[in-house]
Amino acid sequence: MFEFQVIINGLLLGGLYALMAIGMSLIWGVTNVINLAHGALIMLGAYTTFWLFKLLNIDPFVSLAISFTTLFVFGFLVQKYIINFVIRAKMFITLLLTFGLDILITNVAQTAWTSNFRQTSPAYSANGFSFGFITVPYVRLSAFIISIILVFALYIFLKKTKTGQAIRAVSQDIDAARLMGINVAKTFALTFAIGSGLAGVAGSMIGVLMPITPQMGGIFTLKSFVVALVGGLGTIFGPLVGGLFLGLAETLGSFHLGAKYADIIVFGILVLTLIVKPTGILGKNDE
Amino acid sequence: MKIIEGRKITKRFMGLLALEEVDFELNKGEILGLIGPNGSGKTTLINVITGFYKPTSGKVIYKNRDISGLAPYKISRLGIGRTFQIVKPFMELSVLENVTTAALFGKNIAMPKPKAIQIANSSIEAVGLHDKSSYKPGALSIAELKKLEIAKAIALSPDVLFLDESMAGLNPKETEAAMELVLKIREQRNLSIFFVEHVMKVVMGISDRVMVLHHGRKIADGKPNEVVKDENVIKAYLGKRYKEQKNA
Amino acid sequence: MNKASEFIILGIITVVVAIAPVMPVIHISAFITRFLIGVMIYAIMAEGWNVIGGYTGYPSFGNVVFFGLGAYVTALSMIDFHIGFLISLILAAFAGALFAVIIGIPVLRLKGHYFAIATLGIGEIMMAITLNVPFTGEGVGLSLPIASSSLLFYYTSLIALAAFIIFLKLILSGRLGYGIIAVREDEDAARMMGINTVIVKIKAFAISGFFTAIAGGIYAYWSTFIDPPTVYDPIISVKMIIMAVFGGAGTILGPVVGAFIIMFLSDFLSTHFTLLHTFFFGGLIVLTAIFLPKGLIDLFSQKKIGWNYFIKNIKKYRV
Repeated sequence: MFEFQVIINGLLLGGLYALMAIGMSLIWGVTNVINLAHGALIMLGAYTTFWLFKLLNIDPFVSLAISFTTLFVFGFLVQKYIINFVIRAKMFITLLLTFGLDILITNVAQTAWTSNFRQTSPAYSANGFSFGFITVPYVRLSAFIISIILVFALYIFLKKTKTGQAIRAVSQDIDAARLMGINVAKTFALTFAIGSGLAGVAGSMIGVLMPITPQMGGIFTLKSFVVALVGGLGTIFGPLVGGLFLGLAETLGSFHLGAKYADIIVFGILVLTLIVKPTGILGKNDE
Repeated sequence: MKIIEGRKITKRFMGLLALEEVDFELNKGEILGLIGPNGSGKTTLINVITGFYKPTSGKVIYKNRDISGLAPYKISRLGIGRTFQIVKPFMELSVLENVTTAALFGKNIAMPKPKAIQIANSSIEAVGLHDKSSYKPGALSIAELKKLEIAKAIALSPDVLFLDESMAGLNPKETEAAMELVLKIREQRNLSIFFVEHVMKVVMGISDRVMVLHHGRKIADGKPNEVVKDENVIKAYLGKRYKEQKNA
Repeated sequence: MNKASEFIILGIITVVVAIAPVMPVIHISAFITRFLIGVMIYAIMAEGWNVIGGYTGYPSFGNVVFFGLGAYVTALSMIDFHIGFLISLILAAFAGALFAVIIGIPVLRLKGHYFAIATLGIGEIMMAITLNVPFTGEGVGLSLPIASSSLLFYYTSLIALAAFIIFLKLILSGRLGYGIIAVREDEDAARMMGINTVIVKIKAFAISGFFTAIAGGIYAYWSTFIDPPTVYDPIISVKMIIMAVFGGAGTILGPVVGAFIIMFLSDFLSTHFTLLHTFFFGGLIVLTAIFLPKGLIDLFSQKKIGWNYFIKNIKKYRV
């Protein structure tokens, strides 16, 4: 019975991981940038919701939209005025740059808000429902549902809208897209904006479930990467598959081996995936 | 006398059959031209022979030794040189340093550096780039980059040379010069040459023998003037031209 | 800079640095000695990163594992086995090289992003493992004996750095050096030149691991206390990288110059402009990546230095 509860917990955590990774996966797939500042964006989302709740008493689920918009604008500006200048440099330079951004954003947040632990704690944050032996916390379930909704929303956006089609075209072939009259620079900035906005939403949810600090981002960057990678790069449903996989692996692993092995499991999966099947579960093999 | 041959080489990618039971042989001192429309498997064949791909089945025999599936560095140390269709110069190094690297690691792996530099210089001289040996590849023209590619390959002191579209992108005059260069290095260095080209005229001009690939299968092999008249070859090439006209 | 003048400048700097702490007339303060030890430890690490990232073209984001491993091997060998510092340091160096070979065999097959992130992950794994195995003191950390004089660290790091630079010079002018650079420039072409790229990459990684572990060992004894979050901090990997890149990756002196300038600026800002210091590393990385991706050495080897150089860099890589 315990096992079943553990699996439920794992799936719910997986939903959260999927939500975290959608943005990173999108940005990676379209612009070929692995955004090492992704965790810092999640952190900013968490603080946005925290302050809105604390100062203005705005419900975290209401402030999701504000968090998305704030990070959307932030991501757009960061891409347009910083990352764009190195977008065609060696991939290592883009990695270095985003790592620099990560450090910078973290340090600014630390100066502004100190390193104290905080948490967005609405009255219902500890509530849940149970049937039989199983307990399901509301907030985690909501994060799970939101994650699935967002994956499908992104799918529809990319398939059905003109902007979405431009994004997909650019991800396939920049030169061809340009010939079709697509503004590549703008599309990149938009992609980055959407990816950042989604990171913001993930941060808002995480802030209700876990403590917030300016340094919280690092581990989320790596986990998002693992999820995006395991699920399969460039696939829309990859993050969902990868997120559920990682959530289950981490929860089951720490249940059976001990909580202190959680990180070893996560990074073990990362390194093994890279070595064995770098194209991920849903990704295609190539020679 | 055969120096290298392929026996029923098959290469499959995922479901796609890129090469199907291709046989070939190259005799000592011979120039063998390989032609075929784009996507017919020419570069794949070279990649299999030089160890970049493992054949799905079939064998490559070089000097009576099975070399199929050996790593490229081992194959090149045995005396097989190659150029790449898309030139691969070391951009941050001078022409001399580019070629010296090849000489240092080629067939005579224990060679001291001064000797390697000497070999590099003579290879550069052979392709006619000696007045540019201190230049970086960024300052060279396409024709010169193709020559650099050949200089790197011959600095390995190979017995067999594979040239992958060494003349693509050259104008008629440069092509003419490149053809003469190929003939000259064969003479001077006692090489057997296997070269890939999709321009028919070049192949006919210098090949002792020609083989034709189409959709991964060998459809003809023989003297240049016989191959041009071969019905299958005409169909393969005309078919392509017909399609191009339709698309245009 | 030509080779002869490079050697002369290097020689002069080495002699001055070598005699500075003990010469009665110019002897330097404890504060500066301390600063220079820090610079040299980081210079060794930046140069270590340079071998694999700058010369071989495999940008490791996890070179801190060698630093941490070196620190722990030195500490354990001194504490548990009562082995002398210098021998412990040599053990650490070989442990670093061996570990590089072990992880290098799988990860050096990866390219680009995948290699970078895999190394980042390995750094995190080592931190997590060290936190959980009993003989490393787990999360508590290890205390080392206290050395009698800081001159020991000064000279050990100086000798290690000088030995590294000379070793690297020799390597680079030999067959391995050509192989290493060929791998960076074009791996397929290198393979077709008879270069066993797998072995070349592993050797380069082992050299990187060897010297970075020495830096870790010196650091451990010098600081007298180590724990996993300090010596496996991923920021250390990034510091090595930015020092090498800022000075000039793929040049011998670049990383040393980078380490010196960055440590100097960092020290200066932390004493005089605390707030600015907070944003120093992040800001420096962002600015370097955008304006100076080829480093100071490249900037100063231009015929004309002006704004155009920076503007050209910006225009070149954007879409």
